[in-house]
Amino acid sequence: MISRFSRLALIGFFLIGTVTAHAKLNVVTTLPDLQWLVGSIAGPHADVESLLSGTENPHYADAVPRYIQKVANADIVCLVGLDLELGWLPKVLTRSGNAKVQPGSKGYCNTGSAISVLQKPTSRIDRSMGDVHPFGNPHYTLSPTRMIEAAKFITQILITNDSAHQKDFEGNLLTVTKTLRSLHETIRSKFDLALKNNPRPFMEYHQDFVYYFDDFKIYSIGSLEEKPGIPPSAGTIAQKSQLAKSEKVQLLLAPEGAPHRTLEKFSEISGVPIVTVNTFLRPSWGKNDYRELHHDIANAIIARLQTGTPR
Amino acid sequence: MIRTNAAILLGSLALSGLLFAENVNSNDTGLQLSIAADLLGEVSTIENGGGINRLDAREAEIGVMAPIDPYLDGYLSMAAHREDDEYVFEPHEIYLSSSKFIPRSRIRAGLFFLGIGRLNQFHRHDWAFTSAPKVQREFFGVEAASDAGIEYSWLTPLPFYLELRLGVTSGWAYGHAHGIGTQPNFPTHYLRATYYNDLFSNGGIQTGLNYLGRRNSSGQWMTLLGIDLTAKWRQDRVLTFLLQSEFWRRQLIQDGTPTETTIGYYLFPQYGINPSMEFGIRFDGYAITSQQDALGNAIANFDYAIVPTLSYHTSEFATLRLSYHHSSDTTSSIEIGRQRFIQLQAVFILGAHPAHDF
Repeated sequence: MISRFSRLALIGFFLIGTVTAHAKLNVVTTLPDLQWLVGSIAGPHADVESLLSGTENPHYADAVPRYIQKVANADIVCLVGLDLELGWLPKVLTRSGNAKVQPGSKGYCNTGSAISVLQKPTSRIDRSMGDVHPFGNPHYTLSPTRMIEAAKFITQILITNDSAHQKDFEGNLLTVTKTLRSLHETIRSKFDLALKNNPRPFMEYHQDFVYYFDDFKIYSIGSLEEKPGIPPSAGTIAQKSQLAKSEKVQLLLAPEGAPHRTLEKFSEISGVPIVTVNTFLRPSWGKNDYRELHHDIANAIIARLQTGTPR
Repeated sequence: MIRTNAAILLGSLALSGLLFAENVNSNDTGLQLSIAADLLGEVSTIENGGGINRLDAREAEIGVMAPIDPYLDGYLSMAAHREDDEYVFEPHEIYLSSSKFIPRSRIRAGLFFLGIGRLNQFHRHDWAFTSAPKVQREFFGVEAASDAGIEYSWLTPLPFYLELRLGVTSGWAYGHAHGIGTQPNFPTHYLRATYYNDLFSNGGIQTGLNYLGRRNSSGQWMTLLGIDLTAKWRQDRVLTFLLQSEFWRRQLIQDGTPTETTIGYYLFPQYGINPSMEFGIRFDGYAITSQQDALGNAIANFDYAIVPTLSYHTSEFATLRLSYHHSSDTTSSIEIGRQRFIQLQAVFILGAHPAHDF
């Protein structure tokens, strides 16, 4: 009898466990930065996983079967959107066989649709202009103000999928918003102080820092790439170096994956120092705090400014 | 199949596509249009070296895809390619598909490239090399085996990636065929299991086990067994390393007696020099293991090819490829055929950006 009771109890525990497991949302994000954001809002009510680890270039990933497997089990898929993941995510979604997360379904969380977009083309575009994104620049995750907009959108999606925890999600949204506002103010003050006596412009390699510059009121004269996504030719490097010299550019910012030889060549001709930084969180390297990422980037820039440029 | 006025048809379709291309990605139907063009020049480096000794527009393919309704997606691709001094304009794939009916499942029905092996699932302009290895040409066709039928793929709910696939197609014709063929005794059917595992931090390896069977109208059974392997390692924009290989065994059986057993394989390692340039060498092998002389003694035979290939991408939408084809066919240690030619290929894609498969 006891043995029978134990068996029933075990089955009961198993069933409760299963129900509990199902009650928790399973959220998959494309980038670790969105993983941090969703995790901060969902709290204990969701398991959140990122497809990319932060070391890949999200423009050029493949529809890796491991991603398909993760998306097949997801209740929600959160993406940056604005065509950043166009080269691989549609295939992952289709092959997952998961109706819940297909575009238009309640588990499809396209955060790019909710942010104030920069560089949205106003005239006709084509591929002769390089990898121009028709819906605007997708590299918004380095902007705390856009992350607040994305957070509001994510909260709505979470509530749609799990209305029982609406209050918790809304409470966490307030906390995240406060954190991001405070981060924005802190980093902006850092730059205000660092650039007060040296307001010369910046440059960037690709257009990864457009939102970053916008948030922290850093003046940039543009990118080293003449056309987005097209590696600059020797002629372009020389031309941009002359421009950087004449505009007295004090620093060029580049993501870690940018071609080092090109950057070195540019620096050699123009005399402009280069700062390369991680533009995404890297949880596998222990870098999983969005605030820490921002402080690391700002500190790297400011440290380089303090060592002085060759001019 | 339409042999007459094929170029006009293709041109008209392309033009009509381009006329509404401005709205292709932004209209309310989700219609996406993609056009792929494949130009090929070949020069033999020895007399009768096997090259076509001219520059040719090998193929142009128009692909159109869109959701049909909330449950189904539609795909159509039409290709014009040169065959016997004429351009043949024909449908490559026309199918409905859905991943919304059954959880973890994908279904497609219509005319499609059979979902087995590696090369057979990709259009030729998406391959990492210019021309098909002999095993692909002999077992599937110059590009791929396509047929009309239904295919079901199921992603198993296991802690690792394992997808199982089952397909049944009419089997009236097989390989790259233009005629309708004849009614088979048993339709073409195939099974595939795909397993994936991570490899280091930014890489992975995918392995497929494949079976295909068909019994034609004269009662001959054909069975194909194969294994394919694809390993990739990507660092930022550079596909630093690619290893692609397939090994196939084909057996033909007539009235219960095996009449021919053939094996074939290729191995293609490729190194990414930078985001624009890759270099690889393909090694092909092919042998009829059941070949016998009149006395029943085995006849040794082996065909091999070595194809070094250099690819240059101006962007992800245009590729220039230079390769050298060196092959030799031997029977009883005597070389009975050799091919030596240089290939220069240019591929470009207009229109919609198709997502990359692994």
